[in-house]
Amino acid sequence: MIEAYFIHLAILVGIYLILALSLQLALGYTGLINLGHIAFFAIGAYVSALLTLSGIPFIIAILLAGVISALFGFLLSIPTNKLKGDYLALATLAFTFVIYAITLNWASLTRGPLGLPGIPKPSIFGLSFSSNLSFLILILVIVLAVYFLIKRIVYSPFGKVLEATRDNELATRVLGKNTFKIKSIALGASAFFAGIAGSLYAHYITYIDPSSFTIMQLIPILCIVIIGGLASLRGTIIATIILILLPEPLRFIGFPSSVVGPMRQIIYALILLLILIYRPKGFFGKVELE
Amino acid sequence: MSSIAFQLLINGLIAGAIYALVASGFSLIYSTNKFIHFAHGAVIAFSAYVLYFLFSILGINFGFSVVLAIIFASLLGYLLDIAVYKQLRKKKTSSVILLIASVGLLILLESLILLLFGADVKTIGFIKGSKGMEFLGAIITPLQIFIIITSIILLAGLFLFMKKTKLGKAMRAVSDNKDVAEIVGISSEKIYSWSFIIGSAIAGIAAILIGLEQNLEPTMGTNLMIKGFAAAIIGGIGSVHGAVLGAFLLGIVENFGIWYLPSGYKDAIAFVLLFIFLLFRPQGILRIKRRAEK
Amino acid sequence: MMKKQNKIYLVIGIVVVVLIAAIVIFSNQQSEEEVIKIGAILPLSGSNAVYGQEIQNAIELAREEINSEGGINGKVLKIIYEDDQADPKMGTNSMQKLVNVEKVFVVLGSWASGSVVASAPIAEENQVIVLASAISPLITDAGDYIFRMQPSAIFYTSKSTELLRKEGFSTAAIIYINNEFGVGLKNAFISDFESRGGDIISVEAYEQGASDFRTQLTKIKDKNPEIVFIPGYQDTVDVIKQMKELGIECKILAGPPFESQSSIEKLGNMADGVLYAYHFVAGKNDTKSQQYEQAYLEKYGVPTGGFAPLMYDGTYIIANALKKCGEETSCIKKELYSTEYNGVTGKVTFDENGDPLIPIVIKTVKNGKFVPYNK
Repeated sequence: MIEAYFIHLAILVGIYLILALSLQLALGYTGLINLGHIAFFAIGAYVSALLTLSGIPFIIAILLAGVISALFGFLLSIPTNKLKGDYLALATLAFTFVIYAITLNWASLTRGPLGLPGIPKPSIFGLSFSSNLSFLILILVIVLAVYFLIKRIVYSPFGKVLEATRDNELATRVLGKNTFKIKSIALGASAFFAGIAGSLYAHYITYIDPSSFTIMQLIPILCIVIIGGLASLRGTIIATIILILLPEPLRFIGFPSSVVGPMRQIIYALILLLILIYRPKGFFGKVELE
Repeated sequence: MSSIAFQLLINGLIAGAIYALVASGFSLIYSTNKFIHFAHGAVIAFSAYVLYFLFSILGINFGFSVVLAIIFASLLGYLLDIAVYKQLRKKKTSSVILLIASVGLLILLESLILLLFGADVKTIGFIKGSKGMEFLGAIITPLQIFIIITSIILLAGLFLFMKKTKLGKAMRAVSDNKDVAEIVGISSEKIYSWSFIIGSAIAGIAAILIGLEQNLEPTMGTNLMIKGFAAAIIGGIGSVHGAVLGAFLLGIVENFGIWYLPSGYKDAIAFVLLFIFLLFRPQGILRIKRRAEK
Repeated sequence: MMKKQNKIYLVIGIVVVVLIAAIVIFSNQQSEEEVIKIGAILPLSGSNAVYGQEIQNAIELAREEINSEGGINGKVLKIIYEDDQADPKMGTNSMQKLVNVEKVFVVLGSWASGSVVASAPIAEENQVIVLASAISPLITDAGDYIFRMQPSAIFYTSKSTELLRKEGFSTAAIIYINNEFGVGLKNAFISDFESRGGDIISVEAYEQGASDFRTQLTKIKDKNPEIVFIPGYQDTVDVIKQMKELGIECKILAGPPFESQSSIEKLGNMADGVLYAYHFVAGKNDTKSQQYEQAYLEKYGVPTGGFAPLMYDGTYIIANALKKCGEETSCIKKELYSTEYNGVTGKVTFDENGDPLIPIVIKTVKNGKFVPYNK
């Protein structure tokens, strides 16, 4: 019984880790204040759910989820390219609202607030991942793949260009780099991984609706990335584990779920505020949130 | 057919009045402090719940409860400034961090409301339901008329305050150019605090009216804030008249929009308008520049 | 400096994990007496808690009676409650917890159709029996292991549209809550009303949790319907209030959740004359019903009603199956399909889809009381 619970937590850590690493790519390494990251998570989840519910095999669905999210990331980067600072933050935040409005109102596609129930568990070449343990193994494999991919990106020359763009976009442009293209690729890649995370989320919870992807879900991820520290992959991993596990004892002290929910959010919000005030670099961060 | 058009106009004005109350307080704070205080919505929500608590739970006289709720709103806004924003200002952080902090505060306060009051919808049972009054073919209730009038009076009062009073002029000075204002001897820290006190007091009044007109539910703060913020952006953020213009425009466009579209699209109209304006016309309709207003 | 920091944080991380493990293990030091446990998912908090509460009351009453009469072949019947706040996301989480962590094999509830539809696939895949109290027609085909004590929406709307057409209503408007429950009733009503020659002239929706319906009601008022159908939850009360405010005076047909003391309390005499189709009438003559109503009143201080009687019978039906089959769910399933139970809701049997066959009655409010409707 307890092992089942820990497996569940491990799966959540895995999904959120992919999501946090993807945000790290855009925010920490490229300096894109993307507060709309949850929208990519949502797009990935809905695409994957809708495809598998129509019979498309999981492996194609999850890849398409990533690709279509990446496409949206790319598209979003075009009009937001010239925006700076809080206008960029607000525009990306507004993007989350727009995606929410679409999933809510395009009922013929998404069933609106009724959501998509019965999302099938993943099945790859006939191998079904229906038990939580097998799902955990699948997640582990994908997490490792994503981590190594992102690590390759950030430690490559391209990664240096990303950080240069973050630190001083004008200088980078002066040096001849097309920062517009760089930012678009970064946002697209970030969205791709967020879409993958979204797909895994959908197939684990087996039910998604528009309210699963709102500003509320942004706080834990933002918290993780800022606490772990910008531009630090290791920080992100540690922060994900600690932050996902931290509120869990509340459940065991006997609080009902109607109390545990809000308390989780309060803890995350408080930690976020404390870190912003007292330790804006986070624990392992290279730079501060500018 | 024209009576429904008139009813939609009335509905639009009521919604606009409510958004204007939200947006004006928020705009006052923005123009003075130069960052987006998202938690403004939570101040409104919390104050409405405080009114509910004082009046519907403790049974305190309605007039007293209203006054206490407004004072609470002011204090809460002031507290948020002192405890969080001031600390960040000391470190010369950018407005982006202040924005993220304000989002964190919004979530914090809303979750607190959820924890203290529960997820169910609450009603402030001060006004009993009854048929509204007929007015040129449209129905409007006394409370709704009161909301529109209060909104207009409050906004007029706010304009006069900004134009005529010493504090109001000082606020405009800090809003235009903080450094010059300090040279002239205005303490910007004090002005920041005042902007939160006054802006949040307006939020408190908004909370009372909204709480009476609609029911209370924990996420009401986020919803109102998005609408108020959209109104401010559409009209032109950084000026209170921009916010008010945007608010009434938004209210009317929303209500006429759902004449043609299914009713579920009402919020979507605000989101899409917000997104488009942020991308293509961030100065808003009145073309408010972020720094000086010529 | 970096290295020392790393160590500190690693230690914090380990401490957190150990803390959790300790709490978890500690909280499981309970004696494993002879219990047989089943799960229950209900809206125990939030706007619709009134319904979850009344169902929980009934289940608890049944459970105590069953345990005092020897339990399930000597074992104590224990019920693990989960709160879904009538939200499908939370319902899904609750089902996953009950099935994967608590490892129950029977789940009572939920009450909200959205919650049932979202969580049923998890139960079906794990061969866990579900006995819900929800109305959506989608539940009919939700699975072999999925049963319910409340009939499908089509039976309610069939009865109500029959009555409406007989009494001469030809034009109807609908304002429905935009969730699985509301959509199910809306579709069934439209289909039935139109097939009986009626005309649906306006259809408006509102989101679960909304409290301002003026926009939708303005559009409905413009069309001037003879009757307005409101398949909603507790928000039905606010819809009716705002209808009166806007001066809409036509007849009102509500959904089953309307029968709740809170409706009368909040509406006062605005509730008089509202029609609704229902699955239970109090005050029946047989001893079982009378004993139940008496016991409920004594234990909880309020008369029974709403969805409570459905799940009172439901708990007994499950208990009887458990007595015959133990924890073997394919056996329980067969038992349920062949059940013939004389309960407080009448004689209960399940059809081949796991839907119950219970008579539907049209009721109304008269002088603040819920009574059968007599023309």
